[in-house]
Amino acid sequence: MSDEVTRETVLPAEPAEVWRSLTDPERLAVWLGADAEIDLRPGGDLEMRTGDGETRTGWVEEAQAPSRLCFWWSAGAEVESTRVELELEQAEEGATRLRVTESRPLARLEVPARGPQMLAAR
Amino acid sequence: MASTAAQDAVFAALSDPTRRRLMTLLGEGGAATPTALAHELPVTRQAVAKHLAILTAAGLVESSRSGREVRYRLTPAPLSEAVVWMADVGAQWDERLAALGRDLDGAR
Repeated sequence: MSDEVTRETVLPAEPAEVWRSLTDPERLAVWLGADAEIDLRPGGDLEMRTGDGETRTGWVEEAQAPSRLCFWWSAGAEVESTRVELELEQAEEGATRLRVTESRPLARLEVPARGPQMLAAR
Repeated sequence: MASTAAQDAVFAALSDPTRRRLMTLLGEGGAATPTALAHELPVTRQAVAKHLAILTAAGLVESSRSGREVRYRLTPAPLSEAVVWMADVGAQWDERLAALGRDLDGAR
């Protein structure tokens, strides 16, 4: 089982501009978090701080301007990494549909609340 | 996942950040008293008790009494941990996408 969260929104700008908003180093703090940095090459590093002061690190799987950004991140070495996929597509003139999916293909089995049922299901 | 009344109750219970934090604390630390939980959060013991009552009604936590102490723990429902994760991550993306929308609006 791979848990997944999806959100979709339509933004009032062309895909190229939404892409700049998503990836411009100066604007990362606006949506992603304080001190956010992303190296947009495949395998590039990602680092940011959330509002709670939690540090997240990760790496870029794929960055394809202006349509797809995919990365993995985690809140620490002991916390499972989750995968984030951002997809942009032209909605209408001057508008972009942005769809984000965060999933956790690596969901740990030892989490108590999921327990033996999940093990049996594998 | 089909939406049922029980699931709606779960998502409503998890719409509150303090309750999600309580679920995380109980998931990490096991059973705990409202007093111990209140020490970990910027809210009173009474507020914690109220949040725990809502989580209990949604079937996410259960309580047991030993002597004068009441301790709360996550219910062993196999989906509860996944549902908490989904509610938490979903709320974070709602905030990020709203911030992104404001940024683009401001740029016009």
